[in-house]
Amino acid sequence: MNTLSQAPGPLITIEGIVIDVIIHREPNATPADGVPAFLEHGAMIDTGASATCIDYRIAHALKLRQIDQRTIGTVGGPIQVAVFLGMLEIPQLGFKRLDRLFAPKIERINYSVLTGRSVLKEFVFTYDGPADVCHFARPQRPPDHDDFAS
Amino acid sequence: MAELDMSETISAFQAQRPRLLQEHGAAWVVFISAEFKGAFREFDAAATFALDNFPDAQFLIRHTEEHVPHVPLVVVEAA
Repeated sequence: MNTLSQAPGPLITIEGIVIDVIIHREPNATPADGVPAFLEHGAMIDTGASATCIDYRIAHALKLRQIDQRTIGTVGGPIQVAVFLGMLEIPQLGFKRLDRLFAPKIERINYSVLTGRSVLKEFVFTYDGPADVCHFARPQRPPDHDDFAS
Repeated sequence: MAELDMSETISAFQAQRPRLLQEHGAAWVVFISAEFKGAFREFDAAATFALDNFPDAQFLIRHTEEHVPHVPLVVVEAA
């Protein structure tokens, strides 16, 4: 018996590796002219990313609050990025939470968000390569690590 | 929108990090300027605390044990 079949919740199947997400402004954010309350984007599931990344233009469009600045490791070497606070929602997974959103200048392909292990740690996740689908299930117990040693 | 320079607050966090680790262990901590405001087990608890208590302040939220984050797939735009 594998871990997915032991999960107590329903098994959620996503076609491909891009999932719809909604980035919301922080709760009770002051309304501003021309600033939407949220934006919807495609997010690539990226097990190599330790945190959620958004295109910096999303952070700017939503006027998100900056809460940190970090140097992050990328294939091209370390880069400095601003870190913003926002509410990340993934409707298909029933996930909605305040999250740190790292905002590098992502060169757009068909996604503007990377969903990394800060979200994936809450799920039992498998990728079925031949079928090109991802399976998600809630584990029986909460994550017992913060994945900060990578 | 210009990005903020938070280096002063980050320096304060780094200076106090050994003590915070000793007193709070692995935790998300909230700083305003050089002042430590609270420690929490979960990020959203730290963020909610900061938003509820310091909605108009510029605050830093960082984990006491976090190393360099990795996002290998990011392709950075040419300057």
